[in-house]
Amino acid sequence: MSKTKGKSSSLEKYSHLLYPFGALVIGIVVFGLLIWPKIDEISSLRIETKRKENLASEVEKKVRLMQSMDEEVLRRQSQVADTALPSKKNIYDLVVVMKNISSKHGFKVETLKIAMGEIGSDSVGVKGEEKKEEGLKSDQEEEVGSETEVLGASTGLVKEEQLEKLPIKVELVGKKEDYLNLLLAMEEAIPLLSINKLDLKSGKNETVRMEMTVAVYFSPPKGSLDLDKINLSDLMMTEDELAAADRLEGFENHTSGLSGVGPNKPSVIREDPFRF
Amino acid sequence: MTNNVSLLPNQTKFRLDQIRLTQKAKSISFWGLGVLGLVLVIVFMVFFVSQNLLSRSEKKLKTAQADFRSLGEEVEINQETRYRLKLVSEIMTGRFNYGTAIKTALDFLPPETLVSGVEFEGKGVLAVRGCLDNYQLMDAFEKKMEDEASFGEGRVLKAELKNLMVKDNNWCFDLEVGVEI
Repeated sequence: MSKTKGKSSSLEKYSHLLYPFGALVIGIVVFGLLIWPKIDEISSLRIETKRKENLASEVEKKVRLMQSMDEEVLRRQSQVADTALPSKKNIYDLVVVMKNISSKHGFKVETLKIAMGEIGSDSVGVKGEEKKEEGLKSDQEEEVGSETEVLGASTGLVKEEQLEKLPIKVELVGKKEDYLNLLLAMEEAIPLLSINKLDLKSGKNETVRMEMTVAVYFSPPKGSLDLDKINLSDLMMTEDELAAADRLEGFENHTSGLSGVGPNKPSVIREDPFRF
Repeated sequence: MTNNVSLLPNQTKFRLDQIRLTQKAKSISFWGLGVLGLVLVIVFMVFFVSQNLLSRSEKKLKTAQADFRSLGEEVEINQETRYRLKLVSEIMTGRFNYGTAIKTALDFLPPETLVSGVEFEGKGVLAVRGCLDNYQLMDAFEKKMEDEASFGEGRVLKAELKNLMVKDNNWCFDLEVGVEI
């Protein structure tokens, strides 16, 4: 009896500690089960909000950038770029283009050979080796054949930049005084041409015979575009691209009225390009 | 008896202290729980505010994305144009411009030169044959070749006289001109 009384008096002695102890237990439980997980959630909500804010801000910047672009300029650049570098091979049009450029500078196309040979790979613009031959001439070594070229790193949007090169072997005859103008005109012609081999031979009566291999380039369309993966920087043209666009503006378009070059291609009646 | 009398006030005092301590502990515990409750309320409030902010950001993002998608056609044109211009730039940078090279070499010669031949000797090196019908012109041209500053915007990289023949004050020369490629 006295033992029980002793125990109860001892409990009574520490009864004042029950409240703080209970409060502490409740505090720990509330903090551990409610407050701490919520703080965690708040922290991840804030991170997610920040991420979404940044994303929204970038998308808004992209929208503003696109809206600030002159649609007319963009469409004109697109048309010029598409004409300079057609997406489809159109042999007939190429023949007509070659004939147009040549005849404009008083040259006659003697022979024209398009080699649809084996598809190979090469890097763009590898300057061949010129070799000396007799007379007024120059050479750049290159085998005639159709080639597919794959360019290096892209903007990140383009899966792989593919460039096909179609070499045309052509023999032109015309006045000696006009050959330079013709060569210069070919450098500034649309579609883009690249002389890979040149052989100039003086003929009779101040004439010159030019044997050359001219490469015409094609590039298939880029394919489907994932708008969500486009960054702000992807929308802005680089200095090289702007410079190329500016240069192309000054080039002469030799494709007007042709069927297979450029957008909105009109249907035309094809004539024999060699009927001079 | 004396002991009991003397213990009574102490017991009462102890009991009183105990009651006071218990009340103090109670009060501290309730205050603590109150503060905890307040913290809980604040945390939940911050949580709901954060959730609200997130849903606002999501809405803003969706609106912006919808705006951007509405410009899809322009973006596609932009990307296709960039793609083609990049390739065009690579082609133009990489190709060798025969016409420009010949023009550069010919422009380097005095305008009175009668050019009889142009040959490509190697990468960007042209052999030019020509004649000048005047000693003074030839002399001035030789001086021009010695002066690298006269090469003009760095497009003519070198000019070297390989052969020179004179007959009746007609100065015919073979010139090697290196041009920028």
